[in-house]
Amino acid sequence: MKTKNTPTIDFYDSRFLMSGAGRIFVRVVCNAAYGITFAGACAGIISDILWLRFFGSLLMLILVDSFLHRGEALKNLRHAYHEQALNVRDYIAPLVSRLLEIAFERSRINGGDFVLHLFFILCTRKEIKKGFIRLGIPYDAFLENVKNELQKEEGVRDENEPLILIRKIGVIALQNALKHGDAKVSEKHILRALFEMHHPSLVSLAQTYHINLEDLDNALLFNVLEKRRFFVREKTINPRKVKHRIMNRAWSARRTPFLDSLSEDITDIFRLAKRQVFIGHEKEYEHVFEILSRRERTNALLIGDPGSEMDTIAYRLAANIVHDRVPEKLFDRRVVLIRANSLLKETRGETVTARLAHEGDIAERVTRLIQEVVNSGNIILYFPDIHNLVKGSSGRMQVADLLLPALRDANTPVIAATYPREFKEYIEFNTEFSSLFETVRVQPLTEREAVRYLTYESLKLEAYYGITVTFLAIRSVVSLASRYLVSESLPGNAKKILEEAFSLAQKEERETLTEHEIIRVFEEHVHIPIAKAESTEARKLLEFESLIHKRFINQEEAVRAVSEAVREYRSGLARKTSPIASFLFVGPTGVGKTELSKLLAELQFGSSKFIIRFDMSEFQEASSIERFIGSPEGKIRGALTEAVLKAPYSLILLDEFEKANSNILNLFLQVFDEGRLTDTLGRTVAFQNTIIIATSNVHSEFIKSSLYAGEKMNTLENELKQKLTNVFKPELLNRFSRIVVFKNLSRKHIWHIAELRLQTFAHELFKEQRIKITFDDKVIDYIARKGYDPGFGARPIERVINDELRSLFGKKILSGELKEGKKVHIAFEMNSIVLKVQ
Amino acid sequence: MHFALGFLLYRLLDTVRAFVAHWYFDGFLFTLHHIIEMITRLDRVFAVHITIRHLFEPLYQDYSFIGRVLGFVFRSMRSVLGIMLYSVLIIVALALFMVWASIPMFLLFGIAFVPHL
Repeated sequence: MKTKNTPTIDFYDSRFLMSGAGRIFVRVVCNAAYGITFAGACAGIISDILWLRFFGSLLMLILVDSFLHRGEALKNLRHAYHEQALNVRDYIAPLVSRLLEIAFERSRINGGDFVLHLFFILCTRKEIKKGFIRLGIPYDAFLENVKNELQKEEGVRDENEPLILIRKIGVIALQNALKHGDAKVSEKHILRALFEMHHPSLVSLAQTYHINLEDLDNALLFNVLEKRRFFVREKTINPRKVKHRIMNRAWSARRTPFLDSLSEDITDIFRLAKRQVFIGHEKEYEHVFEILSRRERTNALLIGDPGSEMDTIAYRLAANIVHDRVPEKLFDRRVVLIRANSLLKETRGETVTARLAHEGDIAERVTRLIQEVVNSGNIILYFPDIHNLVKGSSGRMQVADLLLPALRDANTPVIAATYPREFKEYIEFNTEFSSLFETVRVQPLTEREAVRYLTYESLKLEAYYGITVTFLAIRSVVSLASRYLVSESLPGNAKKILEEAFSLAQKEERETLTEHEIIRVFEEHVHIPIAKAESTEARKLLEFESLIHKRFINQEEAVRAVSEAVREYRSGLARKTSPIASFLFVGPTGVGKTELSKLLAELQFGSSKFIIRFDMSEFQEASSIERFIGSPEGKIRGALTEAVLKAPYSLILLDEFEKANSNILNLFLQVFDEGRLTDTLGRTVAFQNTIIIATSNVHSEFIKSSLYAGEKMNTLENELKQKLTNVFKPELLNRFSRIVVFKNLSRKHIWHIAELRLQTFAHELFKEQRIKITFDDKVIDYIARKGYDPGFGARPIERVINDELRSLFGKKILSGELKEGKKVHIAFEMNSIVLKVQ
Repeated sequence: MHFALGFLLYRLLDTVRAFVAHWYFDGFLFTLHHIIEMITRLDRVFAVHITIRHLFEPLYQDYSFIGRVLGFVFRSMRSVLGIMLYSVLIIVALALFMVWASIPMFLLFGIAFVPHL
């Protein structure tokens, strides 16, 4: 039995103790020895003397053996488990040994730091160079920096220093190789050892170029996989080469010609693939495996989000069956995949007769298929989209019922897969059908698993597009997908973006696909800026307040609050697990609460279309929570959850928040805190990319009177918070990023708003009709006077502009008095508005 | 200089040691690996163990008398053929390994015992 011990590790190689001349002598003798031995062996073989012939042949065998094992270490580290003491010399690859020797000589002859000499030599190695490029490091600049560091450290050193360092590096490298289960100490182990030594220059380089050891390992592993390309072969199996094996080895099954014509035999494919890589879903696989191995109720229903690669579970089972790594019950079975469309393939006729004939066809097809499967005795059925099969059947004919014989037969295990919503909608209610399955919830891959998965996938894509992808690009595609593409799961969502990014990079004739292309593709998908703010954009963000104030009058406090939130988010400082920001806008009607929300949506999401608006007064009843997040049986879809699933990057505006039912208000405790909500279908709805604004006009009178009394905004906010606890729970109030108080508008503000609206009107008219308009201050006075209502603030201004100006212009345009290119001056004369066409 | 000479002697001895290890140890593992791989591949066709376990079962679920008789007959033939093939394969592979293993010994024997002229 193998026992694990902790061997003592040392590095003793007499080459490093020799003088320079000694090392040259050894190298010359070693190289010459091969040539001389070869010549001697040849001479011996052709000699007439028999024993010399034997001797020559033996020498030749030894030479051929040396040549065939030329890149190998003297001993294999994997066989060293019983050793008590290890000498690095025996386990180091000859090439690495040579690199150490070169660095040793350079530091002896030229002076300077041995570690930097060795690091520089390693950096110029092809594999390591590729690894750095994969990490997205600008290689030439990096190498230049290493050179500079090397020059800085030039100078005569202690002669023994390199010897001590070689020993230290060798020991750390061997420990690394042992930890990773490698056969020998290679370049990557030495490189890692150098970083682990915390040499000040290397620490600074690692910080400058954001090199992290785990990423470096992965990037180098990428190269190894690329070299092997086994996964490419595995996935590019020629379908013509796939031999269909009908019979099991015991000759106890039956032929299934009809099933074969409608399905794919996954075991056939995996019989050809020599190596398979399955990433993630281990627990789910174990559960399915356990279900299928039972005596009874051997059907598993996989329920997982789109993109969670549920097929992997069936594929893993097929691969294990091919390699006989299954119990008796599943031994030598065929895993057969049936897609719904292959069973329901014919187009439906319009007439009743055609439909009935079609239904009859399907029923006959399914019945015949199930009969064949049950009789065969060695089939495991896999339906990757069982909901399509159930939903595709209609009227009197239900495919679910036709499948029952197979589901009831313990000798015919069935695996089916569906999505949570489809399960609720089409499967769960059919208790006879659903009770025959044991459900297995399939979780999305973790980010770590998804990175591994995409590493393999990207190698195939690299081979196809001829573009190299950096490891950082893969990492960023995974982290961005899990954050922004929440309607699908990992790894499916990330894979889609990665493929698009490859295609983009090919179009732009790039050689390397970096995280910049990934971010660009994401930005196109989600319509929000993801890249860290560049200098010009950063300036814009710093002037966010003035940008808003160009179109928004007064309410400085509110504008500052929202600007700060956006800046925090764009600088990456915001909490990743909560919404971008959540505000409670409090103040009287018509003071700009909705207007500011619209502006914010425009500036953050690109358009005011990205507003999801709810009038919370419509959700006052206790039962209205079903309308908000969906009913438990899945018949009523949740207005909020569906809207956020469809548009996860949006501004959610909750008008008259105080009027919502308390159960709904409680929901927001979780939303504000964790940034997510689970709907009644079990789907997680992410709010991390939303801005939530709740508006309320409670205590408007208090705000008005306090401000009128000259109270400061900060004091008012605290007092208001106290007062708001009468309406909202304190824990809810505390979870808002900010409670923003909107002031009442003065006459002066109303005047400026009227001016702004008139300018907008003029701009619109010019854009649509090419009519230029100018207006007097008296017109603004008139609009401001008529558009102000103490009860509604500035809200009536828009109506006044519509009544007084828009209709007037409409009439003039229709009558032909106003045409494109005309100039119009609007004046206020004799108590009415007059248009003067110029 | 004594470091250089010591190193050269060490390299010479190590080359010989590596040759012996590769020829015998790796050679044996190589042969064993290939025998197992070939038998595994053949067993996908002959499935001796499985066939013997199902020896008295009817062929292709044909539960008639004929089906049972045919099942026994065909399975017996298949098992016998499989066992014979596996045996031949193992014998040939072992023989080849013996020949392989004896090559260096034969050469050494030749050097040592053939009369030096």
